[in-house]
Amino acid sequence: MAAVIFDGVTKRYGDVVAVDDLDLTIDHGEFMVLLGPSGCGKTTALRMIAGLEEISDGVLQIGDRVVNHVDPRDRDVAMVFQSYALYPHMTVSKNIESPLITRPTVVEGSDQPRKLTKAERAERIAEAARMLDLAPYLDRKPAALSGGQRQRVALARAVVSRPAVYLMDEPLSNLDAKLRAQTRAELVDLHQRFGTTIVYVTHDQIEAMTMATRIAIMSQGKLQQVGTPRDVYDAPANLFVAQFIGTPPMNTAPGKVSGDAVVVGESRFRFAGRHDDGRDVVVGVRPEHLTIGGDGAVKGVVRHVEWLGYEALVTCEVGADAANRFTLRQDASATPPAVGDTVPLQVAPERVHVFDAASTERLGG
Amino acid sequence: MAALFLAPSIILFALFFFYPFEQLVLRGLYRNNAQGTNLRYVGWSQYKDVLTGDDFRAGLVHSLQYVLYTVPAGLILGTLLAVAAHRKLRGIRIFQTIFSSTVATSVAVASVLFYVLLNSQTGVLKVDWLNDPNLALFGVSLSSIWQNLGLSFIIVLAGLQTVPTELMEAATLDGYGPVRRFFRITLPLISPVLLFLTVVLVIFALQAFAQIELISRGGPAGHSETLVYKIFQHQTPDQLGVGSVMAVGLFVVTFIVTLAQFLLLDRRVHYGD
Repeated sequence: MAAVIFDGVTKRYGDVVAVDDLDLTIDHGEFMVLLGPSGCGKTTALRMIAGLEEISDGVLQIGDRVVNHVDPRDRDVAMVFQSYALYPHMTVSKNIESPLITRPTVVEGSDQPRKLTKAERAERIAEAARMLDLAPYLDRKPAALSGGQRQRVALARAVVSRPAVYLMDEPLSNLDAKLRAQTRAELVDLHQRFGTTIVYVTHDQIEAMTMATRIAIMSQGKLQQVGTPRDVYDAPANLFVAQFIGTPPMNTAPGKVSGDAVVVGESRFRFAGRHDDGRDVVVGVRPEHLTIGGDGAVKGVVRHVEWLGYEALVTCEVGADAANRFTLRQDASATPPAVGDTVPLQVAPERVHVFDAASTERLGG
Repeated sequence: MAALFLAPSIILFALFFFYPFEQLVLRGLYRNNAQGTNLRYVGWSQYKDVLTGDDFRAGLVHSLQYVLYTVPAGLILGTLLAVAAHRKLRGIRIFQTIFSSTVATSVAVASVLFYVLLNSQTGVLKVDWLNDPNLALFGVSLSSIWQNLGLSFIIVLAGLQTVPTELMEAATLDGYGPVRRFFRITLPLISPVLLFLTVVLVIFALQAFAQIELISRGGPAGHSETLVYKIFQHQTPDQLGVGSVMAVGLFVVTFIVTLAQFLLLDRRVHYGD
């Protein structure tokens, strides 16, 4: 059973199209990450699920229900906001209780949602507080909590009503790096424990790669690709996805197909599979698939060496064009080449990505 | 060094507040004749006589009535207008400008406007409030309510604009309807602004003078004479001592009322993090 289905959903603000004809099925129990740069429409898509934005066109379903015109409170969703949106004048306990007060809640042993009694609410609060280590802070106000604790209160407020779908809008962006890594693990834990559907918006590919069961990558209101983290990394559907996922990003250069290789200046990138001779394409190679050595079919002039301790990033100019800079990762123990040296580069043919120059779509081998 | 840094404000305060106030208090200790000469020291007995007298009590009652008429109405109407105008709509700025325009209106204009509206013969409302002992002060207070509305509107609107949209959205998802959102979220969050506005409106009401002079002249038969109005009536040379005592009385009343508001309301006010 699908949890959320976008069927041709469009959101327009006047002449601006924020989400353009989105088709996306989010399965029950899935951790779906909507990933993209700012302004790509991912947050708008999330807010449409919440009911905070009206839908201009198309059909949105949650479970078996079309929810285009269903009130936010009746959608059985909970949202964690980027700013946490805690009520500053209420204690942690009151904040967590908030969704239970007016919203009908599904209770075990019955399909009919109903309002909880005071005792049931207290039990739910205690349970959520226990789960998120908030028990000592229940009587405090949000101002007396650290960023990480506030974030957990926001999560507790979401889990307390046990909704069908959790919506999360960049919930980790206000945490420091260490806490972010820790919370990522906790969110994955939480997801595994409840098995509830999570729709998670972020522009951070590390969050997407580490937590998602599937990633939906968006750009300029359009869905670019949906797939597991592995799918989108290994077989990006187009140049945008290829360059958006991965740090440092995929190396790319325009060239022409000639036989079994893409020719970029003097260099020949051999690929697996077949493409039409003479076709204008863009060749792509991930930094970790490029190494120094080989038969010299690809040559580069070293322009930068960045030593990071655990590895070095070597940037070379390929095809005698300053625009074609290819970065490769080198083991920290290897001796890096000197800047200005010309070095042979190699990449396994099956690791070479080829995209159509005009449409930027991936060309299957 | 510390004294040097404090000197500018201390000098200003001394010159424009402490010294005149001391003179006012001292003036209350004297009586004089109709020419304003022949000062005679009567001591604190004049304070006792005036402050326990019927005249002062009547003025105080009218002043407090004026507070009751103008402050709650000003708060509620200002908040209603601000809530109505706090939304993203095309042309909303026009309404925001109109609603705040009374702030730029002088007391004289407002008073003349309401004098005309309330005139029993030619007035638009065709009511005889200004000649009715029970309604004259209420009639005058309408002009104050109207004139303060612009200020109330601006202050409450500014308060509403500091409430994060995300809080409203979170409350919507939590199942709160518009009314519950307003009372459970908005109102507590703008409470510092409302406290400030309450204090300002109370002080305005206790100080109201020009509208009374222009609309009802304290009448009929003194039924709209507030404390300030009575002080004004005692600005004749032979009554200066009595007027001074009343002025000191008004100061004390204003001080106590303001202090009480802070003490009573402050506990219910939420100051953000």
